[in-house]
Amino acid sequence: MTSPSRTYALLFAGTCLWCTLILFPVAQIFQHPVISAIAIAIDRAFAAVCHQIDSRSFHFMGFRLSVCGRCASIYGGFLLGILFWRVAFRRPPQNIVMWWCGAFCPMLVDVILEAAGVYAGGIVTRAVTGAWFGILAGVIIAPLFIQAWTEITSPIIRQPKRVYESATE
Amino acid sequence: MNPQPNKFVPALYGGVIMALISTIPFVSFINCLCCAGILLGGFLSVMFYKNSFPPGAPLLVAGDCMVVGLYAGLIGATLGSMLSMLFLAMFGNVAGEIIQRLIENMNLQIPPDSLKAFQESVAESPSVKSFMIQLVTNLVMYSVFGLLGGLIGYSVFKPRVMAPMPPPAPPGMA
Repeated sequence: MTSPSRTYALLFAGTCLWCTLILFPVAQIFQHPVISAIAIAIDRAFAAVCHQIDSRSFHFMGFRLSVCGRCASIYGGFLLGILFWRVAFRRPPQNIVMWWCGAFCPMLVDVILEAAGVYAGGIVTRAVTGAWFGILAGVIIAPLFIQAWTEITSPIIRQPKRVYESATE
Repeated sequence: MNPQPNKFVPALYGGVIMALISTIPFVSFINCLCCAGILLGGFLSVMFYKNSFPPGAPLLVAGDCMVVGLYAGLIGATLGSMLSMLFLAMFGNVAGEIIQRLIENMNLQIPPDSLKAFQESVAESPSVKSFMIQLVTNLVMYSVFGLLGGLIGYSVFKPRVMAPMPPPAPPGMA
């Protein structure tokens, strides 16, 4: 396994772990005191990064996920994005600023229109625009993370060269 | 060739920005948008890092930007937790109390469990235990998002690598 492949595996595992933590409150279904305590602790930890408003969140088997619908879609989309990058891209997209704009604009428009009262919005539009942002963010971030990690762990590589290309070998 | 600039100073600037955004009441709501305030701190620390490059210094690399974002996250988490406790001890949970009053005045339909948890969090007084819990949580969250902010910063500020000029055609090929 090459180093970039290992780095990709690290990124993928980290993202899977993050998404698992978001889904963890569902484990309260087992009604075990330790699991419930861990689920509550995780839920409180995610309060630092999300409003967790009940009506704006996904529920699974009666339990609210650790983050709101938009955030859950962003993280789920990010996981899909890094998978999609591995399957379809395998090199960083060109003109990244345009990619960021394309990723962020639909979500921003959704937030602004909803805040302005133009339309009521809903969890579907929040989820779709959030997932779109997450997927594109995953496609952009995955090669950058591999490049950065390879540069940190291999001090010889100090030039901005395309080390991610070896991930395709 | 000049050595690379110090990573700590730009990370400190980014960390202070993160801490202020996360601590000032109502401004901290920016973090509800997927930690935008923390991402911004990591992004800005890379911008400061790039601006501190003297002429002739080596090019900006992704690894350094990720490390600068990570440092900014660690600094922001520590400073943010300390400032948050300080504000809580001095002024109380101002934003929480205003939101609680708004909820009561607007008769919003909030599940009783969530309302109770919110009221408990507003009434909670600062303690060493709550500080430690907040610090550990922030160290994890801010590090992850600071690191991502650093990578986003690199993607925006990275140097454009010029494509090499094609070799001249050998004589007789024209």
